[in-house]
Amino acid sequence: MKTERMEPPDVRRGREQGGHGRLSEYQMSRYMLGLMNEGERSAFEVMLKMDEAVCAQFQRFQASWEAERFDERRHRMPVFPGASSIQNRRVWGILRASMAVAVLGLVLWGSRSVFWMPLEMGPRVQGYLVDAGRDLADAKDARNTPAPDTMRTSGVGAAKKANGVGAKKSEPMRTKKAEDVGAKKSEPMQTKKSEDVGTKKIGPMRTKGSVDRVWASGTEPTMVVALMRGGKITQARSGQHFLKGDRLRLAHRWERGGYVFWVHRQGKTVTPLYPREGKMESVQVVSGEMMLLPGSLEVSGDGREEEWLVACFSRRPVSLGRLRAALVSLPKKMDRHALSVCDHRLHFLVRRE
Amino acid sequence: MKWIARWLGEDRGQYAEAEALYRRYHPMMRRRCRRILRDEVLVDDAMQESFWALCRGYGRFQGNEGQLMAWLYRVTTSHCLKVLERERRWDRVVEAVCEERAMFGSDVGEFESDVVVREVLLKLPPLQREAVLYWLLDGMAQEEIAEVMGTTRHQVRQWLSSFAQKAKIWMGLEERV
Repeated sequence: MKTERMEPPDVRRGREQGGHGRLSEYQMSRYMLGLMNEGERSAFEVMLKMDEAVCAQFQRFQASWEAERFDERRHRMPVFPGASSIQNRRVWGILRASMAVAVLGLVLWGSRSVFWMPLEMGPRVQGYLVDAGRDLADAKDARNTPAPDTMRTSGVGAAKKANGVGAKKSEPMRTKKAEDVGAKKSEPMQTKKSEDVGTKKIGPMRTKGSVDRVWASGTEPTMVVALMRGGKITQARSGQHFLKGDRLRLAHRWERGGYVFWVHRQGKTVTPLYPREGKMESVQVVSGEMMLLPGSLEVSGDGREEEWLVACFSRRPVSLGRLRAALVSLPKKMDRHALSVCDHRLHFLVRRE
Repeated sequence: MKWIARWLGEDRGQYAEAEALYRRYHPMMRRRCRRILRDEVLVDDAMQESFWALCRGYGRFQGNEGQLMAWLYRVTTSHCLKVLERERRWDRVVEAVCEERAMFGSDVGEFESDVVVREVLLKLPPLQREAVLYWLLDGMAQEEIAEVMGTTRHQVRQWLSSFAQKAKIWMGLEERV
């Protein structure tokens, strides 16, 4: 047994194969760690001197051995079992997949609360919009836009502020009375019944189903109006009666994508709801995403006639002027042109008690 | 490090010894892992597991330093193979074997194709697969393999000849009996 150990097996085998043997990593490691006995070491060194190929192999091994020596700056001591497994791509993959599933679950489970969260911050959002209203770019458009009589929105209030039509700037939206806000302008409103307007010129009113059914629909755009009354949140129905202090939150979705313009219509008065500032043109709809409009509408005062919330979906941006022309009665020539403005128009009837 | 020792149920002195051994054998273990796994992330993974095997097993280990090295060599190899198994990356070992063959033209030359090595390796039982890898990849002699694996040389010879026979059958050089 001792004599066998005198010469490393690989060396012996190498010689038997005509001098082209190689050293095993195991033998070289033993040599480097000083675990060979005297006889083995001398035989090993003789082999290195005799065979250039083996010598070159050992030199490469030696260099890499030195490079792999434990260095505090490059290596670290293991910390706990499985710590490095976290770096493992499979573990990361599992973690990522789990997170995606968790997020999806949260979104599905909490979609209702997510939907309503901004509504709880209504006053703050309104305040922000009032401030933003000072910088209205298109003052002309806003000036031509009379406020609705009894239904008031934060955006409308902003427009009034910009034009100096309404009450004091610092007056909060909530305490502002509707009568103060351009009541005169809205006085000569048409007394025509909304049913006449709706059936003949606006087209058939689309009734809205449950949120899930509506949002699950195909490529046609959908609108959702939610109602917050006394802290309780429900989905509002078109034609429903609203009370003073009710808040409405608007949302839309269009699988196809394009542009949308939300307006409030009362008789011949068309008030922009979204967008309320800037160029007064339709804003882009992200394809397939539910979009919640910022802020909320607050119902105040009594209504003398029905009002409509109209969402105009189009492939190209539409200006407020064109939309207004399309909505209110116009001479026949213009009417035909104006009606082609929106690819889809959705209407929501608001009645007040 | 104290909590690790406590967690292990061992005293701190033993952990310190294991840590010293880890530093000493680090080049050998890391080279071994790198040679088989060929991926730094996987190498870290296997090193981690090997170190913990060292920590757990060092207290019970009875033997001299040469035997300790053989044991560590085998532990490291086993963990590398486990990682490969888990990652389904056996092609890395096959690549390493083929490179080895190209460089040294050793006795693996009788297998014509890399596919043969791969296919036959995958079908072997774990212990036999390990022995074949020592032979193919490391060029270890049967005696060394027996020393590292803690078995007899006769057993190793049986494993290797069985592997060679299966490879020949797979290549169609011999008829299946």
